[in-house]
Amino acid sequence: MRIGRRREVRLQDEERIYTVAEVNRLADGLLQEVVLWVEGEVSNLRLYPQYLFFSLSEEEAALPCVMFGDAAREASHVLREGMRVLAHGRLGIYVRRGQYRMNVHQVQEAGEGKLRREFFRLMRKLSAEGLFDEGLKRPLPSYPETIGLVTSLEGAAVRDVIINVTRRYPCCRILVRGVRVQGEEAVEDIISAIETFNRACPVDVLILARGGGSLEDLHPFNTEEVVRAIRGSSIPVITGVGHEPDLTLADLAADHRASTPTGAAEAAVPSSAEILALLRERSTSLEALLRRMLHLRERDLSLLASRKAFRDGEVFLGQARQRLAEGEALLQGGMREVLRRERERVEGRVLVLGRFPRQYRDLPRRISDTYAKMRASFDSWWRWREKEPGWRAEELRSRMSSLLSASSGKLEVAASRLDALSPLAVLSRGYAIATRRGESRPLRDSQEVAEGEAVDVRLHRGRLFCEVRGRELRGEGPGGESG
Amino acid sequence: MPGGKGRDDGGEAEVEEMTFGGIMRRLEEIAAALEKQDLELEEGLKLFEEGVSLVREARRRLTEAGARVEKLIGSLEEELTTEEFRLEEDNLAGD
Repeated sequence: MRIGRRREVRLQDEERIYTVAEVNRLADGLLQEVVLWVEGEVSNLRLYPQYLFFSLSEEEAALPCVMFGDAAREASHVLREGMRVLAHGRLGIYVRRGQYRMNVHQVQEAGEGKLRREFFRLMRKLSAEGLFDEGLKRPLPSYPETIGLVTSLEGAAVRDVIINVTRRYPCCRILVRGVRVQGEEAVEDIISAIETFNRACPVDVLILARGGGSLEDLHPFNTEEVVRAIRGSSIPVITGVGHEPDLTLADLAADHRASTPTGAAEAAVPSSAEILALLRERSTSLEALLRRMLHLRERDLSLLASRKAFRDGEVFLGQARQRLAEGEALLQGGMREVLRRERERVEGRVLVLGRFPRQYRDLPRRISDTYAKMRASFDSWWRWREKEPGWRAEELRSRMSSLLSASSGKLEVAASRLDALSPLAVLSRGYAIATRRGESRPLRDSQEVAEGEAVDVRLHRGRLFCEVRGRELRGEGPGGESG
Repeated sequence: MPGGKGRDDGGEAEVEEMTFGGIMRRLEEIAAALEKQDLELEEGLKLFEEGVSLVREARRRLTEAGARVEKLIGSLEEELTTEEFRLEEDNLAGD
């Protein structure tokens, strides 16, 4: 029934005279059609065991109310003089007195006062349970790919979030789940949306948003159910409910609380301007790091090369030169030694034909080994180096080849000089060695043999078996025969 | 940058598959690796090239892309689908 609409009651017999009681009952019957909620302040409260009376007053007007039975007993614990209440009931008339009144079935504390008390009671309870603990807050992802948005599809909140997320961080996806954000069904909608995202759409972060409103408007965000749904979500939740001063229990439970939907968008995604600045910085530092690394490598190269000779051609060449020098020293030393021994032999103290001193006997082989090793390591170094782009390949190859051929030429010379130093080679130059038959000691003095004695003479090729026919005796010359 | 074309293309295809967060994390890793002194030169050059292509891809995403906005419809019990969500069409009114 709409208040203010005039309604005409047509009586059956307009001529009839009614009794007072009949009139009151008639009025009572008409008024009883009106069932409504009314808000007012309690006054004149009178409590009785079976019923209670009070008036709902508001400025100049007052409405007498009566309550009976269980409803009265329950209300007697709640109602206080001066309390603002919401009463639900049916209008009527107390026939005996003709008194207009409201028969109240249900009464509850009205307005902010009640909601505020309920808010603090629930906050204390959930806080004691630890649901608002800082330790439970999860970190928000730095770069979310997908953002779940739980809000009303109508209104400013959905716009504020979408526009701000898009502007700040265009490389993401927003999934909006429309819910009622006010009234009885809002709680169920919000819980279901959070559950849906958690079970079927694993977004990186959830935004729960709503525009501002009265405490009553925000009531769904102050319910235990919504608080538990937020805490039970495995996806981090950001709330952006109401305007700056509004604080809801949902805010306290959320992983991050923003004071407005726009604030929630800003908390959910990074700013692309900041990332672009970071990327500029990052690419500059990449270049700097590369330059530094190249510089360090350059500086380390010589050190590195001395340890790992084949990384670098110059070092390799140096090493090859050193080996060659060692080979030459070996040769020279060897030749000096051979020469000394040979002099001794020719002087007659030792004569073991065809033999080099033991340590120099394999000298030519050792030198050619050195040469072969040089060749082999050059080849392996070369194979390794060939894969390197930009290496001064040709230049190094020719330098290496000339070095190697120079060294092989020197080896040839050395080998021929060694041949020349052999005792047998002395014979090839036309010298001969004479010994008393059956002995190996060379004869150095004609007085050592008597006339008629047998003497063997060794030539470059073959031997002569001789008999001494005569002797010429001479004093020792200054090494004349020993040359 | 010098380097084979094949490797470049392969690298970029991979980068496109990465998440934005993955790109940013990889950039941090590369910077950390380049700061180490025992890195081989070739490895360093490869990391540098990778870093450059990551920066390029991140820039592209931030400047070229537009956020995709979809509406989640249906229910867990029945079927969940998404459809494009346009602000202009839905509501411009205030709260």
